[in-house]
Amino acid sequence: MVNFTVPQIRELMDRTTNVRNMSVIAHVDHGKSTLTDSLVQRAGIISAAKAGEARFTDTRQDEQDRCITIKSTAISLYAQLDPEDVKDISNQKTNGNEFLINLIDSPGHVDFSSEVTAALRVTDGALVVVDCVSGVCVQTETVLRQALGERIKPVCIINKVDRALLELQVSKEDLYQSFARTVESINVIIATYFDKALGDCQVYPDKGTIAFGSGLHGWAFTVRQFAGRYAKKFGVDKNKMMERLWGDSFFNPKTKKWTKIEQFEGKPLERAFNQFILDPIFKIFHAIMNFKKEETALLLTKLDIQLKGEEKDLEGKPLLKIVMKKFLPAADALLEMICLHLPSPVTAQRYRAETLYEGPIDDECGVGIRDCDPKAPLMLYVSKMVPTSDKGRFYAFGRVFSGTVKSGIKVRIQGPNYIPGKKDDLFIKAIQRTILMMGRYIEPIDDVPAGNICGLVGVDQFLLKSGTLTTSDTAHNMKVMKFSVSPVVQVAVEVKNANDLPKLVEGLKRLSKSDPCVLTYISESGEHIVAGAGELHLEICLKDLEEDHAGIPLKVSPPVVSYRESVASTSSMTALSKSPNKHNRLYVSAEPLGEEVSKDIESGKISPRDDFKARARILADEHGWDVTDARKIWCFGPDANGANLLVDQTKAVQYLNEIKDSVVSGFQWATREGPIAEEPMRSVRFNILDVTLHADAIHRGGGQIIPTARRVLYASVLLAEPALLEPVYLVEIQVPEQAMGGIYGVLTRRRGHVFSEEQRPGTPLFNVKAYLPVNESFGFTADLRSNTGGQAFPQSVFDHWQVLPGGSPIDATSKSGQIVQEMRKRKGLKEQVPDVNNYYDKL
Amino acid sequence: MTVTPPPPPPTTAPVLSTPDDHFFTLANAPTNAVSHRDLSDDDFRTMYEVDRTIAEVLAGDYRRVALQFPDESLGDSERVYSMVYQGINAVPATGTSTEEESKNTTSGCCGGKTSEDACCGRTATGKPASERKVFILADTSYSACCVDEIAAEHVSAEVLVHYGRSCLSPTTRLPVIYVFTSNNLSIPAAVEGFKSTYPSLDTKVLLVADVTYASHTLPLFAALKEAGYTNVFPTEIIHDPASLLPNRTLPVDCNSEEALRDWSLFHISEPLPSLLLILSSRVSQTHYFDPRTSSVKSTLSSPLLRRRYALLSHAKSAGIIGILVNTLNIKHYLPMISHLKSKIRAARRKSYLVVVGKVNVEKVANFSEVEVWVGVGCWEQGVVGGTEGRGWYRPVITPWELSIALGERGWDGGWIADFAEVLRIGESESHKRQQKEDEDEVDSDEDAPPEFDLRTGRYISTSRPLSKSTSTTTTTITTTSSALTAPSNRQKELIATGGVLSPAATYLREKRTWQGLGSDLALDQEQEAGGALVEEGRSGVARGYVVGKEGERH
Repeated sequence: MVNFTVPQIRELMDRTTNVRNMSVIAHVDHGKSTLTDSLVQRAGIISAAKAGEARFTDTRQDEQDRCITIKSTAISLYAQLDPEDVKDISNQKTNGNEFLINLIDSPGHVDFSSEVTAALRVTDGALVVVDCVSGVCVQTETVLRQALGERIKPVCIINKVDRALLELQVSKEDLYQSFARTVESINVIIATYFDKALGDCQVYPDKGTIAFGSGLHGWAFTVRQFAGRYAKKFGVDKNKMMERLWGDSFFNPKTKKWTKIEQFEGKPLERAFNQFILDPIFKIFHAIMNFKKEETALLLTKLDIQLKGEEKDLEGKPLLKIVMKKFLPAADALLEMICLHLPSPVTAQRYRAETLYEGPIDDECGVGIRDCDPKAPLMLYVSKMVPTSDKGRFYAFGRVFSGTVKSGIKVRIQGPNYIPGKKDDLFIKAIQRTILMMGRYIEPIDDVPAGNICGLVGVDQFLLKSGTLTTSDTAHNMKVMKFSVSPVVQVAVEVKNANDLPKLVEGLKRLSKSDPCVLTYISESGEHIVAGAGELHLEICLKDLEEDHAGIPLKVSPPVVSYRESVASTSSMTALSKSPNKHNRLYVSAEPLGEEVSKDIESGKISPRDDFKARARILADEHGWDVTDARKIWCFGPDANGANLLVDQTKAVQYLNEIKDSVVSGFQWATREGPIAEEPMRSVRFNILDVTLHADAIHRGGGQIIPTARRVLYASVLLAEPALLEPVYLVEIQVPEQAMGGIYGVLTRRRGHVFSEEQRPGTPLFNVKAYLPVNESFGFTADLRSNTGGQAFPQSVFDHWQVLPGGSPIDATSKSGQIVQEMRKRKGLKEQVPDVNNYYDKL
Repeated sequence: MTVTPPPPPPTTAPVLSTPDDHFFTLANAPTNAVSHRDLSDDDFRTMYEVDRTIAEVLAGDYRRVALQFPDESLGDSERVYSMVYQGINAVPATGTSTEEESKNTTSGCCGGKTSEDACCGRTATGKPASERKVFILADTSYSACCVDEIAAEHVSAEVLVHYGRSCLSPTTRLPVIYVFTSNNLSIPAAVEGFKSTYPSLDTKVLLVADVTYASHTLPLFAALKEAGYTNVFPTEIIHDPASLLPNRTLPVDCNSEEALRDWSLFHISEPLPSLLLILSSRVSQTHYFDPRTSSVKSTLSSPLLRRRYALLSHAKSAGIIGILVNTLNIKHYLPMISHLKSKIRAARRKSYLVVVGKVNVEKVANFSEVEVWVGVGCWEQGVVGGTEGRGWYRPVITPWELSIALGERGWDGGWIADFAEVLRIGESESHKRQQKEDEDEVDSDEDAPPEFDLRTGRYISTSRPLSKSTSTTTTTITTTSSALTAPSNRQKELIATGGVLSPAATYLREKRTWQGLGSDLALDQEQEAGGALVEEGRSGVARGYVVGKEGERH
């Protein structure tokens, strides 16, 4: 039975110091959901028998069927800790021994890492799960990096220890070494992304920030727990005991002394960790799995484990599970780690505030966030939308960072494009209800104070994917989440039956809401496009679209890649275009913007919102720009924030300011749809060299200038060796040595190349890193599996853009020219790329 | 940080007037002008159907006749004119040799240089009352396919003869004689093309010719019948753009859309985009025979339709919609405009009515605050900017497409261009919608949900600038938390010009950096630290200025 009530939870919410917001993150298949079960079971939501198999947080049918988490799921749990343990919480205040844990279970597959980002934003701590056998994997590193970037404190559990014992039959010392190596690799990653404000986040078994266990069998332990047991026996301090139980520390049974030296009188000593912690576990495994009944019975009495009724009749694995669960319940170890070592919202928001809030940290909202003050103005960040049972409606899922959110209050809903003082992307609406997210159930709740996670009803129509809710009209936005994946793979969907079109349009909107990363839109050629991070992501999205959001049969095109148009050199001559009335002339040249600048723009380091002087400084100091040029950036594009720049290099042109808006409009237009195949441009810098204008304002109006600006930009691109950029995945493949050959074959056939190859210490596994064009990646996973006998596991994530090899895209005979032609045909354009003379005017 | 020196004084005088080397050149002179000077008089008479014209004018006893030529055949206008003039005045034989004609040019500067200038000398008035007068109308204001009633009314014409391709849109004011000026077609080549396209002899094919090839339909049909085709139907021209096949007769047994879908269509000469769009959903497939190259091509209309769909999707989230008048004669155009206005208002968007004469990119791009245009024109020219809609700063869509964008009906793959049809459907559905709208009244303190713009995949908050008229009483919000005082109504943010809420004015204030003379001075000064010092210039009157303090006169 559920062993807590909503009023109990509500009461705990006010004791902010006893709240823990945490997410469970890891590589795919390392056992996050399974492990989460043991916590859910402790809270009484599922029965003990089911824990480890139910995967309660995998709420969707396809998640259960595929055994993979797709959406992150939140659940609020009530936990009680031994009052003795509470005393050990040293670095932050606590109030009583009851805790509220808001836990989010996240997906591990790289295609869904946007879900992880959304989960991390609303939590303060993370439980990193690492598979004891396969160790630290690609996605482990990625999610850890994301977590540390958001200033989230990690604790760690090494999972699937049962596999090491049962399948690999390792010795105690080998197991210890494997643990030690894993801990070290985790700490290496943590150290790499060290953040001063967060302090030292490395995990140590002897400090109790690492647990070891088996999610499937429902047991886990920390060194601290054992230290507690032995501290009484040896009569020493618990903390001292903890240090002794890990690392090069040995107990000499003869002298009854602790030592750092592993030999005594020529005989090797047994490591304390092995002797005191692993030994009992090994003994239980040995006795039970070898069906030694007497030995088992003896052990059970020694460890004070009582078996009930039918449990006594069990043997083998089922008995092992029961015994281990009773001996070392996973929930105990996890709760202890979570409550003791993860920060409360009060602690965390103090150092996270500056990275969370866009505005000045000393305004009323900034202060409210920093102090986690339930009486300050409301600041709530909605990080994702969760579908409800009512089709087309969503719960807005988010975290209250400041103030208190209640049912019925009117809030300002600020979308990601909101600028303080402006009215764009701002709505006012009453919150209908606040709710508590409990995995697959919800519980209504009256109000939720700062520091807690909750769901909201009635604001979903105003939020696309994420947004800030506030009651202060001076509030700035909470920082928009940056995803580590981008939607580079796209398909066109069509309805099978023309009358279903409105349903498709509505379905696309819902799909766009329900996933933080997916992009849906109508292309210029009238196709309905769904773009996702990878094939699996798209597959899930399309399935959702077809079955839930639209509910109609769909035709889906084969996946295609979205390209970018760019230039490879400076325009061979200055492009000139005349306005339709021939009275105005624009002189422009195009040149590559440079990969670093483009990346900085895309990552937000250089943004159109910056002060122009500060921006010019960065450009001049880091990218070698001329300061005058850098100050005269007219705009970014497309969408006023893309990685193309329009720079004014003219000298003393009359009326120039007057036509600026028109030229900018033309620039946005041109960069949105490039000249080659109507794909967006990227990484092009346009310099306006000179402008001649008619003296009469009426002859240099928008009508004359906007189309001319577009033409001259097209001409300058076509004169500057136009190129097509294709997206490239960074693929990380984990593979045993003997299957390596297969990888190379597959990669070469697909234009990929390996650039790093490392053996994981202590294992026959290799980590291979390679670049693979997204265009060639369709069916890559299946191909790789069949060529390596199913032993290679690739993870692909978008990394960068590269020039599409194979000649100029405007030459129809070259390979890239053919891709362009195909693209133009698909879009219903004339197949031949228009010649530069269509845009270039002779003087 | 280095201070950049102020730019040196300009060495040349600033350009305050247009330089001499700027010439007004005729931007788009008709390039496809065909002259038939070398034709014999008889051929010429047949081609322009002069005898039929004369007969009809005489039968109607019209005193004043207007001849409307498309730009490309203006070269023939004079010859036609003299033939018609002589023909209609010959019978009463009041025989004056004075010619009277008037060239009507609605816009002054272009189109005026064509060859008929020579023959349109204005002559004295005071002709005998019995003389029938003929006028040439050129440079049609909107599209040459439409009847230019306004120009005809300028010369008080009683009948108008329209030459060349025509959209046959119904007109209201004048009787019209249509002369389609037949073009040549090689029947054997067409039959060959037909055979290669439809190998099966019993394929159901509609034979449609462009109006300028209409005279060849029956001969071609006869030739095809001879070749053994049994299910070919030759269409004839009727004046009904709303028909399932615009302006063409239909086979007797197919009056419904379903029945028509079994038929293929063979078109002589390339069909206009609008026709293609209309046909795309109505017949099973369309092929056309190009008389110039004597080849048959198939048209792929689905990419075209898809592009139109993309264009109209722009309008779904557009807050400001411009109504672009592209006709002044077509029946129903005034009801259409008011219908559009009310629809746009009902969708809580702002409409602006714009008449720019002959529509082109530059004129339309001058209204940068307008997000989407809806063109009101004849059905043939309704697709402004070609099917691709490229090259236009903002898309121009048709009234029918707008009604889809505003959610009055769904996009089912069909395409309608006829106004009467659009109006008819509009009427019947507005009633239903009215009821629905009454139901979803929302609390006026709260904003309406934003529109999801599928073009960009984002939410657009400005798509409904004119939300429901709100009550004047501002409800005071009493929440415990801080300053939630800003009234939510977006209308407060709009600028009222002359008492009317104006999203366009808001656009100018918020989106434009250039706000008139002097607005850029502040910007310049900020960059150049200080600006120039004011010096005393010269003063006085033109007869002699005083420079400085010296009292020196110039």
